[in-house]
Parts: sequence; structure tokens; C-alpha cells
Amino acid sequence: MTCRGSSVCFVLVAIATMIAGGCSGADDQSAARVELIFGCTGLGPGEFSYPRAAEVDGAGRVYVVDKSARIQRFSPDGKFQLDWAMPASTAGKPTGFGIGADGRVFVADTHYSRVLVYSPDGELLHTYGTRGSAPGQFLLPTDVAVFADGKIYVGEYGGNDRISRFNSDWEFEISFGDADGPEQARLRRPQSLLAGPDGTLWVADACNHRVCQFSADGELLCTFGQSGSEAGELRFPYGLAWLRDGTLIVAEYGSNRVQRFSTAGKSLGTWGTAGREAGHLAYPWDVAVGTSGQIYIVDSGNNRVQVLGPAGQSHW
Amino acid sequence: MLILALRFETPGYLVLLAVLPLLMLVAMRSMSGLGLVRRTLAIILRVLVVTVMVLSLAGMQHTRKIDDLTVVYLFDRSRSIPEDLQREAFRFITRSADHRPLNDRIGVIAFNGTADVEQLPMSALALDQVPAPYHPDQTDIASAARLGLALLPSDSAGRVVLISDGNENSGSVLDEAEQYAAAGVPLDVLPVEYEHRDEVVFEDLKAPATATTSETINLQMVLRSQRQISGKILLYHNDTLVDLNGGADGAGYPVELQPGPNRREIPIPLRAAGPHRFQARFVPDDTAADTIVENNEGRAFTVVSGQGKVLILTSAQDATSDPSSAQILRRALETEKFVCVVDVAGATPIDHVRLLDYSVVILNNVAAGDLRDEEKQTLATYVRDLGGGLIMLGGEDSFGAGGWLGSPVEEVMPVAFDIKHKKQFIKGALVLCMHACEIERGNYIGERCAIEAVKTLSARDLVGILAWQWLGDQQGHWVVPLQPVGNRAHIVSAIKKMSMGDLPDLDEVMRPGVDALAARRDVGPKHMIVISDFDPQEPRPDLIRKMKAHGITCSTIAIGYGGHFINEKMANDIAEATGGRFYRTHDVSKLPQIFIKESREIRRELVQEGVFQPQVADPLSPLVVGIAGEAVPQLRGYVLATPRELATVPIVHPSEDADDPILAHWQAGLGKTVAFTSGMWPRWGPDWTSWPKFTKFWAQVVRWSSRQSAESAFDLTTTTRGGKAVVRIDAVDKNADAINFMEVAGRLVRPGDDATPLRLTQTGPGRYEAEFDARDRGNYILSLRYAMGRGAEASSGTLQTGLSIAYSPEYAQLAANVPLLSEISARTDGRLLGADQADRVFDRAGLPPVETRRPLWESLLHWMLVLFLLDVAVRRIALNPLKMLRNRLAEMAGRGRPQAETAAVLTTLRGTRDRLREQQRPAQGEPSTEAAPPPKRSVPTPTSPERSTRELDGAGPDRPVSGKPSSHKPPQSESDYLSRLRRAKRRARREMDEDDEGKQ
Repeated sequence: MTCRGSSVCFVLVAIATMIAGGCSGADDQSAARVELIFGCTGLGPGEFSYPRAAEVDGAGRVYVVDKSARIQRFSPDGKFQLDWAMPASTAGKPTGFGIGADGRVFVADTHYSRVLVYSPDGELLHTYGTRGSAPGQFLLPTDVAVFADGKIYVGEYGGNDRISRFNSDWEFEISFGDADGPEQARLRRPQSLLAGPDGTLWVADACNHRVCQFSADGELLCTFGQSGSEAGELRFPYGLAWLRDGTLIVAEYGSNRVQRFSTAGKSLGTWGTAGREAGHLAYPWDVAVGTSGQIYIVDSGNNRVQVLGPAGQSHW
Repeated sequence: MLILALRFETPGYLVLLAVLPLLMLVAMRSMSGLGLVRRTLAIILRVLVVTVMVLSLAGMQHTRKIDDLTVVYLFDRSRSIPEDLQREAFRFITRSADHRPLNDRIGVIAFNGTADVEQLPMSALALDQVPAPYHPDQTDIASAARLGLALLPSDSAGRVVLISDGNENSGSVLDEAEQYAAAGVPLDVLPVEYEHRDEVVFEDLKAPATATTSETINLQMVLRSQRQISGKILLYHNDTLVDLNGGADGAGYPVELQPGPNRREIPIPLRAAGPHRFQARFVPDDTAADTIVENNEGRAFTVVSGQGKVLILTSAQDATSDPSSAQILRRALETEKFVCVVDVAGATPIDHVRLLDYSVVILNNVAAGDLRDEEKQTLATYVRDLGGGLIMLGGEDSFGAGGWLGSPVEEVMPVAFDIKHKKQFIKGALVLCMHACEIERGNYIGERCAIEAVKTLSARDLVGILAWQWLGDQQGHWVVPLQPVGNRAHIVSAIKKMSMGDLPDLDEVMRPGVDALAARRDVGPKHMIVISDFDPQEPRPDLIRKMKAHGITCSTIAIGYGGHFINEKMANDIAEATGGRFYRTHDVSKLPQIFIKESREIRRELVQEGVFQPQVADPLSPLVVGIAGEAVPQLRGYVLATPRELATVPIVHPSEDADDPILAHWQAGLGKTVAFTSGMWPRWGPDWTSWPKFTKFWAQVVRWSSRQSAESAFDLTTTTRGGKAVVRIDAVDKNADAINFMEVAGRLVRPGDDATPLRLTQTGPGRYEAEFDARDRGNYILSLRYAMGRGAEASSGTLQTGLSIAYSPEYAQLAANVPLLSEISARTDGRLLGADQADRVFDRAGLPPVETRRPLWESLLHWMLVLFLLDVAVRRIALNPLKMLRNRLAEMAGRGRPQAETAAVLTTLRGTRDRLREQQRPAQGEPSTEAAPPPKRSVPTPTSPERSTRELDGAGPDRPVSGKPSSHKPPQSESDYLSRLRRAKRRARREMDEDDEGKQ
């Protein structure tokens, strides 16, 4: 009875709280725009341990790699389909990957200084790379971009920050962005690579807090962004993706937000604030865009992927 | 499958429902004033309120029968089970998980001496291996069973599966089986069966606990063999192999073991005082004939009382220099007949058995980083609990300057190594930069480093900690902003709260630290330590230039070796450019030593160099007897320290600020410690080595601090059995009479330096015993004090003894204990599973139906509140929709009449009103006291506003409105008054009935 008696008080307090809560205001606008959240903390199917990169293949399937050194594949609406693990992970876990036009998954196995090529179902098809600073070698590869013509671009950091280009047979062709190039084109941790529709390469130059556009031959065409948290400024841009309207979306690891840019570098809006609730972000590492235009944001610190609908972009 | 039902926790309250008819009857009478509809509604509501209240009191519950099952595995990872069988057992778990129905859950607990939850109950087996907990040398099935029962959720049926060999050596699982039986949870058992048929177990090696010099003791060995086997016994005495086979080749003692126990005795002469360690090992001629090699060893030791030796620990640099400070001291003490041993700190591990050989340990300018953490703890325990003496001599690597601040050794010394008594003191500043590294337990390692760094600093030094961590919208990376160390507690608390993330760029965390250090002009040394796996981006060149410009040194510590790419060039470049040091840390357990070394960078201001004249401040101290009357020689350097309140400080360096201690001493627990803050004789004390009383002074210091021990006539024995040890003293006097009523107590130091008090109780004439747990492998040291007699015959003394556990009891097990496992399953209605029955784990056989109950009283209270409010509302608020509608229509009709017609009606009404008032007015001096009967409704009467309001309120007219004049009558009696009221009530009821009939 004592329990019940005290609970009566609790009920009254709860009612008062509900009344008060009801008056506190409307839901966060950001939360309202999140269409879907999938993933939670864990090591099981559909769970994440600090996800760090995501890509969408031609069929709209979403691939996510996390710090358990697993790649998980999801349906466009976030349903777990399958997963596979890297062959080794004690030295470190992958930080990025790209998907070719044929659906192959090119994983930058960062701490093993190599690129692993998988089939969409996780079958290991090919391994390339050795540790070193010589042409064609890697120190810490960050990401892979596969162009329509079969050219493969691999970004790396760790004292030899550069981008190397290979042909489809993994024959080294050129590298750029390192200390041998022009000072303006020197990269500091090229964390994400993105193939442009016009055959140019877009690079998230994370520690220079900027986005760079290179020609296919490594000539710096333009840059935008500088360190800061205002609109148009960037703090550790880690992920890049194209929206269907031809604008660029950038995941800002250091500012807990994503930002939309025109290809001319004009900021068109930001989305997300630091936090743990829906619509909030914690260390967003990457961003990907689905075949229907939905935006997948890798919310690393919250161990989840937040999905914005295609209409969401019109708001910011 | 769900089956819904209702239950009552205290159904006796349902009897109260019997009052409902009575309640209805009373309500019908008491609410007769209400209309029929309202009255009926009010009665229904009141009945509902009371019913809900009674149901709530009776504790109504919603019960749900469920068919889901949770299986928790208890997986034995102790050493007694061979590794291949453990792997096979885990495969059983994975196979059984494949047969798990969709909604069933699976949890895993791994256990040996402790039990760890490896997987909480969840819908899939998420483990690809099960790590062993930290105590593989023990098996505590009971604690695992207890945890397993607690892990079962209440919303499903539960089954616990024990996978074990049943060889428990801690706790009693049968006691826990009773809990399972009471909870109705079956404990299924999968026995991990094995039997070692070719096995020799070294069951016991016995040596007397104490002996006297020149005594020959008999070492007794018991070896149990399962078959006839030949081999030899190797015996080590103080780590030296003893030649046991006379003139033959080799040193082994040949034996031919028969099935069953085999006893052997070997006489060993003892020559010197101190501990004598014995280690015997059986080596079979055919190594394939013995399965487990770990149980072929026995250990014992005997303590021979006598004059203890002096251990002088010195630095490697001093040991190789000439002249060596340690050797100068050794020669001085040896002239006073002390037996001294000089050793380089860290060269030979320090443990309690080794220290039993010494009555004093001298640390001659030894840095804290030269000894492991466990060795520092051993030194402190040696003093406090075992009565040993400890002397620390000064130097550049000693006291606070040597990183001893915050160490266990500081706690037992007579001076604190922090500087609190000096007003003018140059403080240092340390900033620590870190981030999450891509290695296992990276965050934990970072936390440990930060805490170690803070511990080694003075309270007046400045410390700041920067880490790349989640801060939400906040800017900056300061975990602890640059501030005086002060009370370390809040800094340590902040460190423990930090949660580090992946750092992209070292510049991010280093730059704020450099800016803060550069801005401080009131500090001396400015130092930064970066701990990283050096995969973030290197700092920008301008930051390195700024560090050099402001004299900020930076040391880099690389962690994460073992496959992980570490940009050593970057780490080395930063350290080299700023005058710091670069450390490659392959073994993260060495990190504390590195931080201690690094703290010297900040603490170098503690070393004071320059010629000064020390003064004797306390001539009564026993350490300066005979030298107090004259001036002691000059010294040329010392280390700052703060004397403790209870310490004696015989020699000081006077200064304007506060006297600095040069010599201090005190009693610390059972032992004594001395701090001499100078030293390094060739550099700081050349006048002391030529001083004639140098030898006498140090002999006095060592003699005062030495552990007191004497030969005892007591017979001291230690025995072990079944994880327990017994220490026994048989005390007789010189007439062979038993000594009774002695007080015997002391400290027991277990492996791992866990010291606990121990008291021996008298169990017979002259016999005193105490029992303690001795399951862990290693040495157990006992330091006992005894006191006997009273008054002039009172005497006391100390005794040292101990015992040694050679191997884990796990290795003594030769077969699975299947009978125990069968008993467990039988007592809990569980099943004895076979290795091929993984598909049976998730079946429901023998499981009682499970119900979950959800109390409904809270919901009922909500409903009661709502019904009660409705009840009140129905009784108090009369809403007559028809009448309201009629009035409304009337209003609307009135609004549509022409103004002239309205004015005519109003004139008529006013005239009627005035006429009525004239009729109602009583004759002057004759007030009316009797109410006139009200007019009938059929009679049209002018409607006043007052009248309308009363009707809406639900109350009838209570005063006459008739114009009939009242006659004057004398005052009425009370009965008349009541009868009038009754009449009025009847009238009102009649009127309301008419009203209701009209509605129908």
C-alpha cells in the first residue's frame, strides 16, 4: 500500500509534468525532417560500432563500414541484408570505400595500407597495395573513387598525403596533392574522394578544412571553404556526395552538421546540430545519396545512420 | 503465444463489493432531490468509483502467459579444462544457437575464479569466441550460477546451461542449486569430461617454517603417480641447483614412482640467516608419460632467523661510476660489521621473499621509474606490514625529483615529496595531449596515463589536459584547463569522465596547449606530452616554431605498435625540434614509468645545489647521538621535501622561508624509515666522506631502522590443504611447559601485495592457530608479533614465516567431477546433456509455464479519479438541454419583434410588476412569516430575471411569489418549522416529477 500511496503522488506529478511538457513547445524542426533512422550500438546484424563510411550502389542498396571492421549491406529503407568482415583488423579498421559502376566494393583498408575489392555480396575478389611512400604504394589510404572509365583514385595520409590514380588493372599512373606539387594543391588528409559528373575529382581536404576540385590529371581547378563554423566555412570535411539537383553535400566531422554547396562553392544551407536526439549529429563521418534522392548521413558518434527524404534539401 | 487473465494480489478486499447494493439504496434516497436521469447517472458513477477503488485495493493484475525462452550459458574457462575441450564446448554453444526459435534469447557468462557476462540475453549469439576472465587458476561455479540466475529476464521462461568439468575449488554450487530449485529454473549440465591417465602430481613439498643457523632440515616430498614411472627430482635452493646424486653426472635425484602416493625426504644443511627458498621439480624420463607439466613442481621456504643484511639499491649510472656513492656507503657499513649487498635497481625483481633476507633497504638516488609499480608497493608493505627498514638518500633522481611523488613509498617516508612549506618556489607546467587511438582499450590507456601524470606533479605545479573528445556544440578540447594541481581529486574525476574520439589533426589539440603555456610567465619548466598512435595529421610548422620560441619542450609517446602504422618520423621530429624525448611504447604497461621519467622535466626545480652548512636541530634524536655536539660537514646539494608533522627532523638546512629537512625519521607501521635528502657523495658530500664520524653516523642510522628479529624457541609450522592454509605455533618455555594466553597477531601479505591482519587464537595448551585462504599461486608472507607474561615477566618478539603455492589447484584435477554435475542437475530438475544434444537446449521440456504480471492499480487510480470528478459534476451541475434550447429560441424570437411592439410588451410587464409588488407588500407593522403556496406552472406568470437564474441552478422557488396577502401570526414552534420544510420538499418533488413527465 505504501508503494501505491507514493505512486499516487507520482501519478499526480507525472500528470503535471505531462501538462508542463505539453506546453514546452513543438518538436525540433530538424527531427521532423528525418525520415528514417537505422542502426544502434552493438555488434549484431544492423548494429554499429562507430560507423565511418557509407555508399549506395546502383540498386539503391546501402553499404556501411564501422569500427568492428565489418561492411553491412542494407536495403534502401535500412533493412539489414548481409555483412562481411575484413580479413584482419587488429592494426586498425577501414575509414572509407567506393563502389564501381559494376557494383564492386573498393575498400580502403587504411591501417593495412591496401585496397580490398569485394563483390556486392562480400566475396573478396582482389587485394592491392603495399606499405610505403613510393609511387603506387600507400601509407594510410582513406578512400577510393572509381570513375566510369575504370580509373581508380585512392587518397591517403600519414605523412604522404596524396591521391594516386590507377587504371582498371591497378597499374599506377600518376599521383598528386603531395609536397612535390604546387603549394596551393597540397593536401592534408584527403579523407573523401568523389567522382564528378564531368570527369573531375572532388576531394574533402579534411585538415585544410576545404573541398578541392581536381582535373582527372591532378590539376587543381578550384577550392572552397576555410576553417570555421559559419555558413560556407568547414571544420574537418570528411564526406562528400552529389545530390540529385547537382549540388554537393559535405559531412563536417568537426562541426556536427552537413552543408550543401553549389559547385561554385556557395553555401546553400546547413542541417544538423550537435546532440544525441533524432536530427542531431555526433561526429558525422560520411554522407551518401540514394537512388531516390534520400540522404544517408553516417552519424558515427551516435552509432546510427539518419536518412533525410529527398524533399529535405529544399529546406536548407 | 499469449494468454490474458486477471489476478488479484489481495483478493480479500473484494468483499467490499458487497456494500454496493447498500450504497445504491442510500444513494437513491439521499439523491432524491435530483432528477431521475441525473440520479441514475450519479448512482452508476458512484458504484463505478467504489468498484474501481475496491479493485485497486485488491491489487488487480494483468497476467500474461508466455512461451519465449531465455537460455544463459555458464562457460567454464578455468585451467583444469584442456584448451581443445574448451573450443569444443564453445562449438556446442554455437550449434545450439542455430536451433534457437525466433523469439528466444541467448546469454553467455564465462567464468573461472570470477564470472563475467560476455553477452547479455539477446536474440542472437554475437560472440565468435569467449575470453577467459582474470582468475583462470580457480573455479567458482557458484558465483557463475548466481550471476546466471540474476541474468534471466522476468518476461520469458529461463534455462541455465552449465558447461564445466565440475571441479570447483571456491564456493559451493550445491548451495546455489537450492536457489534454482526455489526459483523453478532448471540448471542443465553439459559435463566436459576428461581423465588424465598418465599423470604425476607433485602434491606437497614441506619444509620447516623456521630454523636456526647451522641446522640441517628435512625436505619432505609427496608425489602422486597414476602408474609406475621413472624420472628424477631437481631441487633448487635459493635458485641454485642442488647436486643430489653424489658423484654421478647431472644434479637430479633419481626416483622410481609407484602408483599412488610416493614420499621422499632430502636433508638440506642451512648455513646462513634469512629466507631459504626451495623449488623441487619432477622430470620424467619419458616426457610423453606425463600429461600436465605445470603440476610437477613443489615450493617451500624456511626462514632462518639471525642478523639481517643491508640491501643497497642504486642507479645503473652510479653502479658503473668510480667512485660510486653506493660503494662508499657499503664500505662504511661493512667496517661496522654489517653484511651489505649492492644491486642496481630493477636488475633483480624485488619480492617479499627476497626482502625477508634483509633488515634494511637503502635507496641510493634511485628514480621511481627504475622500479615497477609492484616493487614500490612491495617496499611499502615491507616497511608497514613486515617491519622492515627503509632509507632513502637524495640525488637528482631521488624524492620528488625522481618521480616518487604519489608513490606508495612516499606514504611511508618521514617527508612528503611535495613542497608545501616554501613560499618562493618555481613551479612547472605540464600539458598532456591525447586522443582515442585505434588500439584495444585505447581510451583506458589514455586515462591511466593522464592520472599517472597528475600524480607525479606537485600540488603547486600547473597541469592541463587536452583531448579530442565529444563536446557537442562547445568549442575547445580542454579536459582540464591549465591550472594548479592542488587537490588532485577533481582533476582525476574530470579525467575519468573524458570520452575521447578520433583525432584528425594533432594541431587541433596541441595548439591550445601551446598557447596556454606560452601565456604563463610565472612558471619555470614548460613541458608538453603527446600520447598518440601518430596517425593524425602532424602539427603545422608555425606551432613548432612557437614552442621553440617559448621554451616549451615536448615529448612524444607512440602507442599502438603491433601492425598499426605509426608515423614515427613525425613523433621523433616533434620531440627533436622542441628538446623533448620520443618513446616507442610496445608495452603499454610501461607507460607509468615513462610518465614518471617525464615528470622529472617539471620537477627539476626541486634539486637545490650550492654549498651550505647543515645544522643539528634535534640533538635528542637517536640518529645523531655522539655527533650533536659538533658541526656536521658542509653539503653541496639536496632535494626539497616537506617534513611530516609526526616525523623527527634532527638535521636541517636553515633558510629564511622555512627549514628544509636534511635528515628525518619516523616509525611507519611496524617498520622505520629514514630520509636523507642529500647524498651523491663525490658531488654533494666530499666533506662527509672524509668526516671521521661518517661511518659511525651511518651505522647508527642503519641500526636504528633495522628490523628487529631474534631466534625463537617456538615451533612454527604452516600447512596447506584444499585451498586453505593453517599457520600454527607450538609455544613452550625452557622447562617444556606450554605457554598459554599469549597474544599473537600480525599481517599476512598475499601474492599481489594484498596485506591483511591475522590473529592466531589458542586452540590447545601452548598451541595457537589461524587459517586463511591460500588459493592463488605465489608466496604468502606472515609477520607476527607475540606478547606474553605480565609486569616484569612480560616479553614480546616478532616472527616471520610463510608458505608457497607452486601451482594452481586447477592442475591437480585429473578427471571431471561428473557426480557433482549430476547432483546439480538432479537438484534443480535440470538435464544432463550430451555433446550431441545441442538441438535440445532450446526445447521446452520440463519448463514450468511462465507468467508475467502487470499491476493494474495505477491505471485503476487514473480511472477512479476521472469517475469521481464525473460523479461530482453530475450531482452539482444541472444541465437541461431542452430548457436551454427553449430559452435560446425565445431569445431569438424576441430579437425579431419590432421595437414598438417590444416597448408595448415592456410597458405591460412593468405594470404587472408594480401591481404584484403592491399586492405582496404586507400591512405596516405586520411582517409576513408564512410562505404562500407557489403558483402552478400552468398559470402564466411574468418571468423575472431572478426566477430564470434559479431554474438554471436547479433549485425551486424558495420564497413566495404569490400576491396573496399574508395574515399576521405569532412566532412558530420548531416542529412547525420542520413541517413547513417537509411540505416545501414535497412540493418541490411534485413539481420536478411533473417536469419529468412533461419531458417524456
